[in-house]
Amino acid sequence: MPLPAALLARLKKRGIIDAQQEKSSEEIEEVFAEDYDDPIKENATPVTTEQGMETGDSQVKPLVHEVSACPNRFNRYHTCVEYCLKRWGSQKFEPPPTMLKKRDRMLKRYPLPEGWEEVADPLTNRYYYWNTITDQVCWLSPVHPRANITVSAQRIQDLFGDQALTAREGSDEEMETNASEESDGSSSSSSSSSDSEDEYEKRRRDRGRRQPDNRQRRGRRQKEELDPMDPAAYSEVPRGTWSTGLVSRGEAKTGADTTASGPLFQQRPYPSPGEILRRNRDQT
Amino acid sequence: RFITMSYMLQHLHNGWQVDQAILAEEDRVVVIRFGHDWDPSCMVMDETLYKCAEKMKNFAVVYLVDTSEVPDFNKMYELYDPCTVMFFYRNKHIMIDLGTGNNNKINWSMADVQEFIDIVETVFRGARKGRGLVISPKDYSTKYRY
Repeated sequence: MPLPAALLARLKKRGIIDAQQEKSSEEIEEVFAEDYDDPIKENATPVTTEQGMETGDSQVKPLVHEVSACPNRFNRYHTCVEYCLKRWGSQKFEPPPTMLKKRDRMLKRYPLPEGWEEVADPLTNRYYYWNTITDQVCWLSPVHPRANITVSAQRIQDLFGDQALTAREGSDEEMETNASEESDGSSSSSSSSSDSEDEYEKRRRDRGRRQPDNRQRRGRRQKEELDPMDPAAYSEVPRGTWSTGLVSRGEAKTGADTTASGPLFQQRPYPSPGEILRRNRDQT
Repeated sequence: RFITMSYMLQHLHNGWQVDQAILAEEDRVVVIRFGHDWDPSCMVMDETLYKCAEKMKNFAVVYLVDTSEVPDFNKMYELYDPCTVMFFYRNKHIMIDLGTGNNNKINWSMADVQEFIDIVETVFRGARKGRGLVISPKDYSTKYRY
């Protein structure tokens, strides 16, 4: 199976595969894959050793998405290099038994279609599913009605830069929906997608598309638009700032409580003469 | 014979005197007229006050304040009418609902002595009960005037 060009480039950049190795797709797959039966032991071993082990039986093999245990990994400005893996080793995959039980049940109901591989993620200790042809990923089985098939976040970041994930959520959403449409077409042979599922998918998609749109619009209005009840909107008064209109010392036009309004407005007594004299003295 | 109306009512000549006059009264309403002795509407009011003063001496005491001589309260009490009468009890401003919308003071001159005594008595009774706002026995809103 040929790997997409972007993934190949990334793997090469990280030093996981060499130029000559990428000829055979099976080998490439194995380069960052490990034996499922003994993941903990395999994780600790360097990449080179496991290649030899895995070439033996490459038919059914759960993969592990190899992540170095580098403590700097969560730093946005840090890119893990080969040294990180050597120095810190790779993250261990320890699946909790409850998750395994659920996953087995899910796979029994929604078996993986052609071209999909199960990959273990040591960061979340869960399995995800990887389409080896289109390089799409999914946390659930792709034929599951609630499956959300996307291009991986890492890949989006590589293609569009950092701001793709944070600022432009809309485009992300767009790609997601395209991907799910494609997958619907490809997995029609499994025939688990019905009309209700399609509808569900559509509704979810619409919701996702509306939300960031609204957020953007609100943000813009806060910045630019004037409240129609703001005096600046209908008169010559300059637009006020945060502190405009706040009561400050010695600025009162009257001794009565100016904050009282409504039915309380006519029940505002004046302060006593002594209090007024004190206030006048404080001002000067 | 030479004694004018205002002469009998005591004048207060500075802010401190106003403060002390109010503080000194333990259980009498202090009625203060803000204005000028030479003002025609104040003259009417002063005459009424003079006639009342003796009758209500058991529950009220009247003082006159010249707003030019004592400008301390002009801003805080919004004293821009020619004649203003305010009530205080135990160093507390007592409001009267006169039906005019301004509950803080009587800002016109009243010629009727009995009406004024009734108002002061109402203020006294209410203030003794701890009320900050009393309702005038007569409604002075303009809709009944015309």
